[in-house]
Amino acid sequence: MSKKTLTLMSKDKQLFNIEEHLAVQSVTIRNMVKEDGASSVIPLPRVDSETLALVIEYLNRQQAPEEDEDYVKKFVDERGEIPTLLELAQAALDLDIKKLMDAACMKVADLIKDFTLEEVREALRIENDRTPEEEKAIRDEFQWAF
Amino acid sequence: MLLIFLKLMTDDHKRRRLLPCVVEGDRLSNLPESAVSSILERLPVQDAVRTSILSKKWRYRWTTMTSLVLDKQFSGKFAINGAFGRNGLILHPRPITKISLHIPTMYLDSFQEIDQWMLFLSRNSVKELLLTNSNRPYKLPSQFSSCLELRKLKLENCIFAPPLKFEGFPNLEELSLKNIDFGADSCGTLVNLPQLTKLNFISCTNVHNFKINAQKLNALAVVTYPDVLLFFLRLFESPCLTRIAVRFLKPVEDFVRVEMMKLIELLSKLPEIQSFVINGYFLKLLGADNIPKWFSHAVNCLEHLSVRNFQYSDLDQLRGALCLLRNSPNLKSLSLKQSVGHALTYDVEAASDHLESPDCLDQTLNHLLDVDIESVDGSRPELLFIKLLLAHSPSLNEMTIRPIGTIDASKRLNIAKDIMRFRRASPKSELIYLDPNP
Repeated sequence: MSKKTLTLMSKDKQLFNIEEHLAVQSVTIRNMVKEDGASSVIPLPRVDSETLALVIEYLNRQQAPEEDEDYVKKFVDERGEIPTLLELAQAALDLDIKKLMDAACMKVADLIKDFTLEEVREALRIENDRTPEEEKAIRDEFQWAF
Repeated sequence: MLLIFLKLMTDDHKRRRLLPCVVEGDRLSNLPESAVSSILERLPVQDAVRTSILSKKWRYRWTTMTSLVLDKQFSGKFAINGAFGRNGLILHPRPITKISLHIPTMYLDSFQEIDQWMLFLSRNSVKELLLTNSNRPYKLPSQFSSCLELRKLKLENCIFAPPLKFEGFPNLEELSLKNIDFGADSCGTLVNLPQLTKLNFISCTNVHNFKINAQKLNALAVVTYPDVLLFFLRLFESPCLTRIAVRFLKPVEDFVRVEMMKLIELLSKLPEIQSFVINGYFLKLLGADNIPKWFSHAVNCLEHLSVRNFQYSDLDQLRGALCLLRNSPNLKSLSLKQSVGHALTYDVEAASDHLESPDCLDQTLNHLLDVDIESVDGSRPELLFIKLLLAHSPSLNEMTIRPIGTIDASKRLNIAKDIMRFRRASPKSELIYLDPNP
């Protein structure tokens, strides 16, 4: 395996180096490398440097395939803040890194499911535009869920 | 969930009122739709349905889900109401392609409702089914074998005796079976799984009736009692298999020599195996007296070896580990995790003497780059093993030592002092000594 290095640039113009064979775990990067050799800097205009640092840390992991699932679960567990996880999910989706994206979304779902509705609204900053009557009608229809 | 948030973001004064201290609010505004859907689909169904109350935009959003999670809480409520399939869920407007279903512990007269779900799913061309069961074993209904679109299947605590005419799941890629009974008197139908790449097989019974044909199998993980290992040997021969994990639930005691030889022969013939994850009980098998020092063929492709619950003081396990190292000339990474406790029952002296004998590893590990050693407690055989690895690995890049959390700081320092003194065959090797996990 060649040890060629790629440079990724975050939204806020910070540069990150990563070995090519690790970077191509991202399908998006793999396709870019295939197409034009990606010799220069790869810009990632939607990923900020904080998130990109996390993605790089994830791509650099040295795990046996059998232990990989536990690793990625732990990796997102340690970053249990919803805003960070949403950013990570977005980056993983853009870069097409399936395992990371699955784990980040799963973690957000896990956090949200124990929330009250008010807490969900707060965490995701949703404005409640329903009247109490409308709310009651829905509660009645799906009684079992509430 | 973020759609509404998006809407909110465009309304600047509201934003200031509602989010006085959120500076990075805009970070979220372009989170793609599919990530949101992806989060929604991972919510248990009752929570997903509850999102209909969040705001107007969210009213029907959950009905676009093609994946349902029916977790413990949900199943509990439904079993009480006796209406698993009613309440409009089965009238869910989209086809369900992915479902997680849990059978709760409470007393159930019958599994009728679960059977109904199975029927529903088979008609819906379900692609992913994860069935967990904390009740008594659930006998899968015959409809189950018509879920021909399945890509991923995970079953727990079920009785699965495929009907005689069953030909298999033509599209199944991942199969995970835990506590599955294949039926004492079933006919042992050969199940064709032409697309299967990954198989997990945990503590199943009547394994002799589980016969599959999976030519594309790539990763196999087995947790089992040693006596049924033989039934898996056939699977070991799958042509594309590169990753194997075997964990024995108890040590091997009365394994017959013939069977053992069969295993060794297979191991040395595995043409493509790259990653091998085993536990100490399995290693015991390779450490027995009558195992030849050299296999008839070296395990040439093996690059990654990981041993969990390894007992350095158990002479059999130790010899097993050395035997694998000796016969894997292209090993690149090695990971060892010590089993905790029981050390007193073993002969530490015998293990240490074996490690100090000059010919205990008469082979250089020329390609070994990375070594990771977990739960280090400073026992003599363990330190000698580390010494041996350092002395025999001329290309070593990194050795990571992770001391166990139960020893105090001064003991940890002493272990580090000992390890630092060991001679290293690789001049560029880096020794990483980590703090124990809190």
